[in-house]
Amino acid sequence: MFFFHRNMVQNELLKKQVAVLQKQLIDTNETYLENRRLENLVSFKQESPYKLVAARLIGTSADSWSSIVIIDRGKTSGIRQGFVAISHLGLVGRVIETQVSTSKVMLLTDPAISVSAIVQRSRQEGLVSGTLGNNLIMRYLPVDADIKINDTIISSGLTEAYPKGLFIGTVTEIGNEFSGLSRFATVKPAVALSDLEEMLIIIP
Amino acid sequence: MKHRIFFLFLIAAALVQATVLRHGKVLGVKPDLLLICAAFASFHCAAPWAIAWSLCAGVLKDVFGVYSYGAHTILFPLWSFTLIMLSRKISTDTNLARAVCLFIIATFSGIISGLLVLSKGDYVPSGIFIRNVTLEPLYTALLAPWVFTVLGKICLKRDRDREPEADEAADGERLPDSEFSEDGQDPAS
Repeated sequence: MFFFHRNMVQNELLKKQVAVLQKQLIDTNETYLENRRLENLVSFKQESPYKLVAARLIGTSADSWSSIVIIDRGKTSGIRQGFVAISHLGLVGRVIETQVSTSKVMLLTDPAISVSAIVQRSRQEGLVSGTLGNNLIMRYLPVDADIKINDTIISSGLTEAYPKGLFIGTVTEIGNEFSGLSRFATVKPAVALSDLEEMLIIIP
Repeated sequence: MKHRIFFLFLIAAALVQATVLRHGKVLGVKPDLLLICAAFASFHCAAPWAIAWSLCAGVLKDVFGVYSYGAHTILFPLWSFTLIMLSRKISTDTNLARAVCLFIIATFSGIISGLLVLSKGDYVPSGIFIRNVTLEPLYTALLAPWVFTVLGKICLKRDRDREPEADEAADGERLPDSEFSEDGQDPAS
């Protein structure tokens, strides 16, 4: 009876220790993953020709009709409306509103955003915009446009809004518009915008 | 109703909507906690308080949005007024009835928000439009009974502490249409 009670107490103690250690393991994994993400950002920032400010996501839009995120950098960090947001993988979006210490960034998946883009292989121009879904759409492609599945889409730099050469995504589908006068392409974004946690803001 | 606690809950709901619910999306949509709070105020408060709280909820939703043009600030009080009028015509004493009313309101809200986006000339695929207009109200309505129960426990005062006055209590809390209070007891007894 004595040994049973002692073993029961010890069992409870060990279970608590296991729970504490499991939590520490989860925290350590989380720190490791965050470290890897930040390492990628830092190495990209060091190699990039742009002046970059790193920012972390602290919130998102309250409704489902817009794709905006709130970051923890604002005017005090030199960010202004219109600056481009990127990550080490590619284009993320654009700053649309800045406050003293926070800013709102509109992601590429928002339908209000449009990026002048080209197919890297054939230099075919088009306009990439968001659809509120996981993919983007590249529109206003001529019927005879030279575009194929798995083509790389980059920013064209034709407007001053986005620097040239930023990786936007990869073509996954090509189709004809309803009017039949032009084609469109579905583009899978280079950056997993739904899982974004950090980003870099280009300071011109 | 305990207005201060409800105000804190409203702020918390706005923060949860902007942060935590990002990870609680189902098929790309998340529930509208602020609309649920506005509906709760509509069912449990006198009309002026209900519209005031709905206005507050609409402002909070616009703060975390972008191109709504302040639409929710205008729409939320309108939905609150609609729910108040509706609850005078039909019985909304059960959470099921309230959830159905909320589903209808949320659907109209989604349609108006979607039309606002389309009116700017932005392209939204029809599938995404239908998804936002149907799934988001459904998600909101399914979550509503649970939120109503939680809010009822923390924000509603016990009926035996109040003295009913016509159809409105002294602190502005509106009695339900039935003669019985929230806990089913006759307030006249």
